[in-house]
Amino acid sequence: MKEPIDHYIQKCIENDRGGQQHIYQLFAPVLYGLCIKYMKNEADAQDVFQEAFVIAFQKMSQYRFEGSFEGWLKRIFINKLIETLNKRKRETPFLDVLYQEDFVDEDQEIDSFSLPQEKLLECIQQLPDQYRLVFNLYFFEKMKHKEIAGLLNISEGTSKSNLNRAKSNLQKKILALMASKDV
Amino acid sequence: MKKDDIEKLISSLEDFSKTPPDDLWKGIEEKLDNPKSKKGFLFWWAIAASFVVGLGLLATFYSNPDNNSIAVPVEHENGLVNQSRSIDSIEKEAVKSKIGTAKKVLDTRLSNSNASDETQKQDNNSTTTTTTTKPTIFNSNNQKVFHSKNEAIVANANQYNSFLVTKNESSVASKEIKKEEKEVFSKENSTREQNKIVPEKTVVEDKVKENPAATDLKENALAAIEKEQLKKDKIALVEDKWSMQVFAGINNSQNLKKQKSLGNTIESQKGYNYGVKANYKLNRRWAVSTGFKISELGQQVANVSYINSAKTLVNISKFSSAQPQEKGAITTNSNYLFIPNSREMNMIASTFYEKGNLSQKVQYLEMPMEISYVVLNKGKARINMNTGGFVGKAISNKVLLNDSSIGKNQEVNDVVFGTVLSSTLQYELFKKTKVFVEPGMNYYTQPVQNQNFNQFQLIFNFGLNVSF
Repeated sequence: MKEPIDHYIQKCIENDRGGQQHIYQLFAPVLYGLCIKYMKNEADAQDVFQEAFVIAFQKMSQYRFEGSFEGWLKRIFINKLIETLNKRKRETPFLDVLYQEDFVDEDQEIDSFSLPQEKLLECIQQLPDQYRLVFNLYFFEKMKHKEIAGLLNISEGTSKSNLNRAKSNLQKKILALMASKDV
Repeated sequence: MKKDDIEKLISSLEDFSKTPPDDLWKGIEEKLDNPKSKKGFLFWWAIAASFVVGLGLLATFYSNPDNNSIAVPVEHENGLVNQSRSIDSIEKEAVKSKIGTAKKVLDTRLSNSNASDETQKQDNNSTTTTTTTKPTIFNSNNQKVFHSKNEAIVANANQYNSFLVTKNESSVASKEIKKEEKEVFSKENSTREQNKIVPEKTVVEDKVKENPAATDLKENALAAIEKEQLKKDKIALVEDKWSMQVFAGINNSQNLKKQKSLGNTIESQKGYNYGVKANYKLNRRWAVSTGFKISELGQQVANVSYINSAKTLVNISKFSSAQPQEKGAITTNSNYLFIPNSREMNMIASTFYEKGNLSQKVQYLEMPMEISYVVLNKGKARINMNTGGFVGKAISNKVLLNDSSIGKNQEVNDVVFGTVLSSTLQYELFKKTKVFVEPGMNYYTQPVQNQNFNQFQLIFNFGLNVSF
């Protein structure tokens, strides 16, 4: 019999370690995957994952038992990811991008099913932070440009332009990957 | 492959999940057991402590009746008793008594002019009158408080003196009180002289009431006295209202938020400041000040990796163009390219880049606007707490690599705003000249755009304060 999630949430609010571990085991894979998609590498993703989970447990009492709990958790993780990436942007304000563009034939057809998830993830991770952030929010969180602009404190135009550049960049990377027959 | 095909390809990652390594849960447990102390805890603790100390001093200074009140002999049904009275009430009483005495003098003079016949008739009884007419000092309710005038005033003066000695008070107000006491004393004496030749007070008052012209004369004279008194008070207040401060000192820009630049932790940077301030005293406790100040805000980043194109003959324009334009650069010098201490560095052969210490200094012309409060005024020493804000204009902006200037930081904001919190410890050297030291702290809201930069600055100034 599936135990109601609310019971464990209540345990978390009471700072019960057993309840916290149960919630962790239940949602960790999805949230860890989320962090990997947003961050440049797995090591960075692990740092954010840990910090965001701690924040989630500390803020658990703010959850009103309305709507999706997973959605509430995701929101905390996305906010933490945005905060981390913005902080990184301030710490390394230049040379976010230091790579040479490869020449690719954009008309080349590829079989998407032949590209493993890991390789696809690598391509996303190689995108500049701000492009990757907008790309993730648009494709995976299904946010509108207006929402993204509000969340990242940028204009809608910048959001659209970052998404286009991300797509274009990703397209080139995938094609280059296919051309190298490394997959 | 079209751009829209990306969406189809990416859709496979929509529900991407991965089991995290086991040690991550242990890390979370540790963090939950030992919550990380807040950044800058020491800083906020210091701020809170200084406020608490300030409030404590205030409370001690105002709550202890021994400090602000003295025992005054007051008439009681059992005779004269000592009653604790505040300085303020005694001050008011002194002024009242002065006016009361002046009224008496006037009454006496009027009685001399209006009731000269009576005076002549009663001349023989003047000795008796002197003993029966007791010049009085009135309290705030215009009631007689001293049984014996001389005893009361002498006791009062002695109490003042002992208070002034123990408190070592040198404020203008205290001096005024003493001066007024003397005046009251001398006028009381003159009144006594007058009383030797005047009849009973009740008779005089009756005569004055009978003569409306005399009443007018009395009112006019009283108004003139009060006007003169107000003028004197005003002059006393205007004295030392303005003062001018010149100061100089050192500062240390602090990275209290543990921020990083180029992947390295930002370090503090020493600087200097100097200026001049005009101070206007609102009352005995509060004052406002403004002026001009030159101050330097800076930071250092050690072991920064960079490429010097002039030296290595590497064309860095290709890399520079890869930078998003809105992010800006540390220096306007296009020969230098700074590399963040991160994974990207692996993409550049280590032979291309060098390491060095990067320091940045921004000099501002600032105009502070402060309000200060005297928390302690003891003898020649005084402690003020000051707070306020400032607006600054960048007048110099330098980026130095290994102590050699390589240009300007193009992201520096021309105008900055900030807040200031300081404490002034002042000592009176001469009557109008004081020396002071002023430890404090400045906070700059956003000195540089899109980059991390030190925002807190600890300051230590010393200077001269001349009042006029």
